[in-house]
Amino acid sequence: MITYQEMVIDESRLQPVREALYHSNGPGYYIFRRFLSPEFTRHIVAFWSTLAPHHTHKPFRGKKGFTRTCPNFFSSDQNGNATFYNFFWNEPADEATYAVAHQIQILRNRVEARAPFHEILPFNGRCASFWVTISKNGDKIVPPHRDWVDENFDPRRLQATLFLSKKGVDYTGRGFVFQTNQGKQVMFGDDVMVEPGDLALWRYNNEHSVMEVSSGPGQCGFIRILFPPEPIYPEAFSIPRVFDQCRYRLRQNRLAMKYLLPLYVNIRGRS
Amino acid sequence: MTALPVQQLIDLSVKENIVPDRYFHYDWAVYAQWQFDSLRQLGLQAQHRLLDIGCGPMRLGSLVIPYLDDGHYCGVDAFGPYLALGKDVLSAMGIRKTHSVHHSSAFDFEVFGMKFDYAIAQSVFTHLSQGQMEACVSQLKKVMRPGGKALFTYLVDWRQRGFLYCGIQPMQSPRIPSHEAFQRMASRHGVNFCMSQIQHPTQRVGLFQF
Repeated sequence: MITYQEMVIDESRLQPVREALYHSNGPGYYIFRRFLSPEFTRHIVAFWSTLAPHHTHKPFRGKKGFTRTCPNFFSSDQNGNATFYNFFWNEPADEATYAVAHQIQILRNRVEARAPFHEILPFNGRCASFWVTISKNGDKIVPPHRDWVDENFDPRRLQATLFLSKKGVDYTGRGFVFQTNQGKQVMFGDDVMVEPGDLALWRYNNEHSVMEVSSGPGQCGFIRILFPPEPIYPEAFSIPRVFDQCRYRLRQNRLAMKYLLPLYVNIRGRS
Repeated sequence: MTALPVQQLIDLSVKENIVPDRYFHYDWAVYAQWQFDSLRQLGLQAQHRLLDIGCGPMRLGSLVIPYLDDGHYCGVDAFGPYLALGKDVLSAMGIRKTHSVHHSSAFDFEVFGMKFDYAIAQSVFTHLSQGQMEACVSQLKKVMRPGGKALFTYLVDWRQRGFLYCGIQPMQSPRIPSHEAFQRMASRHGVNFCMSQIQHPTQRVGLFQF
C-alpha cells in the first residue's frame, strides 16, 4: 500500500541535510550525490545543448516579463553562453527536465520546512523557475554576491544547482565559487568534488559566483540547472485580458450564472 | 542572560531539525520580551501561576521561569520539536528552576493539577480552528482562578484557512471577521472578553477574564 506519508520525505532524513546547511559548523551546502542517473543526465545535456530555442522559447526581455502567463524564455550571447528560463505553468519543452525540476523544487521546499508545493505556482507573487544554464566562455558570468539579505532577509532560503557537466572535462576555469559558513571560499569541481548528476543545495545568504569559465570545440561547457524563486509581475493592461478576467469572474458567480446566462443565451441564440 | 545569541539559537534549533526563520530566530528576543512585559503589565508577580499555551521552545519561558517561584510555570505545546528545543534553550541559559511542560494538542490543562492566575496564548489562535479555540476557552475555564486573566493574540481574517505548519503539520487558522467573534465566544462560555490596549508588533490583543 502506498500512503501519503510514505511519499513524503521523512523528517529524520532531512536533519543531517539541514545541519550541514544551517549549523555554524556545517559547510553551508549539501551534495546529493548521484541524484540523477547517468541516463537522465545524458538526455538532459543532449536535449538542451541541441535545442533550437525559437520553437519553444521566446527571447528573454528582462525579469519584468515574468508574469503569471508568460512563456518560457531564452537568452544567448556570441560566446556561446545560453540560458533557458522555464516555468512550471508552461508545457515543458522536455518532460524529463520538467519532472526532475519538479522533484527538486519539492525537495528544496522540504529541506526549507515549507509546504511541498511552495512556489511551484505563484500563489503569493513569487514562483520558482528552473533555468538550464550553459556557460561556455566568460570571465564574470555571475559576479560575487549574496541573495535574500537586507530588507528581503530570509535565512532559510536555499538555491539548488543540478550539475550536468564536469570541470576539467567539459570546461575549465573556476566555475561555481561558494563561501562556506566559516567564510572559506571553495570551488565546486576542485575543492568540492561534484559529478554530473549531483544536486547541491546551498545557502543563498552566503556569497557565491560563477567566474572564469572556458571551453573549446567539442566541450559542452559548464551546464547546470538553477532554481531561482522570482517575483511574478502583474500582466500588462490590455482590453482582451480585462474582458477575459471579467468573463472568468462572472462564471464564478452563482447569481450571474442563474440570471445572466439565460439572458445571454436568449440574446445570442445559442447555448 | 536574557537571550541566546541568534547563531547559537539556530545551532540548537538545527540539532532538533528546526530551520532558521527570520521572525522566529531573529526576532526571538522581541516577542519574548513583549510577552513578559505584557504579563507584568497585567499584574503577574512571582507568586502567581502562569499557563503558557503554545509555549514553543521556551521563548517566554526563558524569561518568566526565572521570574516566577519554583513550579509556577506550566507550558503546553502540540509541536514536539519545539519542546525538545525548549529544553536545550533552558539548559544553554542555565535556567534550572522547576517547571512543567506538556506535549499535547488536546488543551488538557488539568494535567498540571493546579489553578492558574494568568494564561497567555501568543500567536496560538492564529493556528487553531474555530472548534479548537472553543475547546481551549472551555478547558481554560476549568483551570483559571476566579479573576484570572488570559491574554491572547489574533489576526482579523475573513477567510478560514488550512495550512501545513513547517511543511508537515496540518493546522488551521480561523475566520475572525472582527473582535466580536470573541465577544460571542466569551458569552457562550460565561467569561468576559475585552480588547487589550497592549500593542503587539503584528497582531491584535484580546483578554479573557474568568
